Amino acid sequence: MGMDMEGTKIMKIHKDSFWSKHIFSEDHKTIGKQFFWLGLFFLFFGGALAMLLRWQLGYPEQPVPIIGKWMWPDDGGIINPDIFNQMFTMHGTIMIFWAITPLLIGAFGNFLIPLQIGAPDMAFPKLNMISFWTMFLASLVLLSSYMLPLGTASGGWTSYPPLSSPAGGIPGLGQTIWTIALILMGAATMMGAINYITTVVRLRAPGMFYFKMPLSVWGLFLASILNAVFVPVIAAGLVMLLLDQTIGTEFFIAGRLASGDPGDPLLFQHVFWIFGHPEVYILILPVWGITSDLLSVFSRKPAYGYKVTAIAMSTVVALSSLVWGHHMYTTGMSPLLGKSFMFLTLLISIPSSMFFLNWLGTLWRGSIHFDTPMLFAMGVIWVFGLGGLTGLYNATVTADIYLHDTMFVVGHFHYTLAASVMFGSFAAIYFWFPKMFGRALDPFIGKVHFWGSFITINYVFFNMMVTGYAGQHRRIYNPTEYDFLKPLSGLNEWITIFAFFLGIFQFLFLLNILWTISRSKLCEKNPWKATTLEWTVNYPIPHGNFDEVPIIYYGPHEYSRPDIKDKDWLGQNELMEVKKWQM
Amino acid sequence: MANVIQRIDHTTKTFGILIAMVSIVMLFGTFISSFFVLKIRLMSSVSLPGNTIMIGVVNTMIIIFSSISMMLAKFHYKNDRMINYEIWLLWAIMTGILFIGGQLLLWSELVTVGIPFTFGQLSDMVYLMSGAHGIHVIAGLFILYWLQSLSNELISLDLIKNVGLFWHFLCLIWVTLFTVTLV
Repeated sequence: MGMDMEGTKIMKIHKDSFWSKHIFSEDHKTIGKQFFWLGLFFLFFGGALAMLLRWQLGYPEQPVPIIGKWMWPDDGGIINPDIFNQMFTMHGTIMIFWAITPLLIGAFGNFLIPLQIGAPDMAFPKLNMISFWTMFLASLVLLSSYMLPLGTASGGWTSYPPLSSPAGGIPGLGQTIWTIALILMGAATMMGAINYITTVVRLRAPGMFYFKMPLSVWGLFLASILNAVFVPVIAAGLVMLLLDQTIGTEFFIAGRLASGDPGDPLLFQHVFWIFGHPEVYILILPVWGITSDLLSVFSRKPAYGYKVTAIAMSTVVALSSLVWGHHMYTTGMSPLLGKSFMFLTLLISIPSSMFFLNWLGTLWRGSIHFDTPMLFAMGVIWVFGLGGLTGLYNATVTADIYLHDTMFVVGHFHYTLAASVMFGSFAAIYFWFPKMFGRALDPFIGKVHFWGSFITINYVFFNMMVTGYAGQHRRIYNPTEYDFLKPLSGLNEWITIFAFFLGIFQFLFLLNILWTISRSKLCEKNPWKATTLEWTVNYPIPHGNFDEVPIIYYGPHEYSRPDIKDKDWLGQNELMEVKKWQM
Repeated sequence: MANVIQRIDHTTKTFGILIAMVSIVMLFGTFISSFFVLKIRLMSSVSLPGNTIMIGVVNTMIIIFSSISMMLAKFHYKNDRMINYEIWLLWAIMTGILFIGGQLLLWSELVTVGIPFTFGQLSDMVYLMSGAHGIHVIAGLFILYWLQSLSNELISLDLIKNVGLFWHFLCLIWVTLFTVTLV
């Protein structure tokens, strides 16, 4: 049974000042947009770092064109090894925690959850606002490390001790600032998770049963459960790391580096990955949900196996908490334990395959409309398919012993986390932009953006796997220093060239956004002829969302029903005129 | 532009608190797991001197008493005995403050007997766990103070129940942490 909005009452009318409406707003839609701009900024920031990393790998120790001499005049415009280490650390950290998380979970979680379940706002609007500003503070703290004399953190996004510890680790305060920023980011994430879970459980509109929720809400809901459970785990680990870095404890300091009894650096790896592997699913679950919904909208067909998809996603959530050890096969783990982690990891492929096949089932004999959001959603099928399949090699102990820490792993997780998650985010942005900003993004530029990104991203990440299989280690400064990697120079160059083109296509996307917001006319209320509740309200959507509490009669994918007159879709809260024989 | 805001019922707030409690359990669960991992690795245990254990026991009794005071405050409010409610709520706050004072005394005693912060992994974990718990208790004290400062019209049984839920939870966390330390 649903909760039938019992948790909320619409109470009073009030006026907002500029500050309470645009800056410290408690409206989930405004907070969603704040997260959107924050995430977009960091997406381009992290992307720029990726370009510089690729430059060094494609053209090692050559001056960076145009900006090199301005940025590193002392080194003649060349990226030195220290800067390189800082770059890959900040690239990973920013893309995972400051780009994808705010964009998908912060922006779309905030914007979509109340609208799609028929709630007036989040359960705890103040907490929601505090969550954003804590994230903003975390962003400032992270960026402030660029002003340190020895630069930012450089121990990788995983920042394992001893690299991240003061004893024998990276000099300077960069790692400490990184740790503080992540603790703040974790606090913001937990606040968001508490809000999202409570909102979904308590504030669904009458008739919005769990199995009538859009799969986007399912994805965001499940991701929030993982956030609420596993972010505190890394928070605890980071607090211990921070004490090691600042006060002089030795929780993670091993062997002779410790002044007294040795600590245990592997403990940090366990704590990190107990959170870290669910984090992968935290990022991808919303994409699975969004893709499932969008494929249905643009195939004009009900999502194939809707309940199976929801249950399969939930199964992945449960299994994701049991597989962290597959990141640690090379740490001297007992073979029996390794096999257990391998078995559990491979088990995830079963529910994943189920909803993957459901996506294909939705497309099968559908009336497919190749609009930009659909292209990106179909792109997710391809890139997630490749990312998922290559995950099997990494999950298998024997293969992973060879592949561990190579560019193969980098290619694999970029297929799942960069390509799949970014394509899912782009699909969501193109799809919900008319509801967020009242204007539709230009479809032609959108399609150029898609095809340009699709071709280049596949070239880049597929060939990263090729270089990894050939033995190229990740995070090395100059691959040409190793004789056995010299034959890969040409391929590395081409990857870099394609990566630059990938970057250029993203500027097209940014221009599309800016042009649409500044120049484009308001579009119609429901341009995609979609069935979910957010399309029933006019732009700009007022605080409170709905004039009256919507009552839900149908699931989220009522397309092409033979019993509907005049149109091929039926809104979730729309009472239809049915044929007499069906009464 | 006219806007509409919502008021959330107490069951929804209770649910939110429960989710927050799950997160806090995971936080302390990780500390406890780390404590045991380090303990197994070092093949030793924290050997706290008798007087520090005694202070810990007294502190535990104080926080249990504070939790009971909160329960009695709720009981009296339910039976419309506002004076008794306020007295017991005040007891809960005062014993909460006493608990924090007791924890500081425990820390200073540890320093006095030669186990300062950064002495060793296991004792550091004791400092860390009790410190993290202390921060939560201070947050809880602010919430109790806020409840105490509310006018009668703004107080409700549901509100007291929600505040009490968090306060009892903090008591339970300390009992667990102290037990773990002694194992």
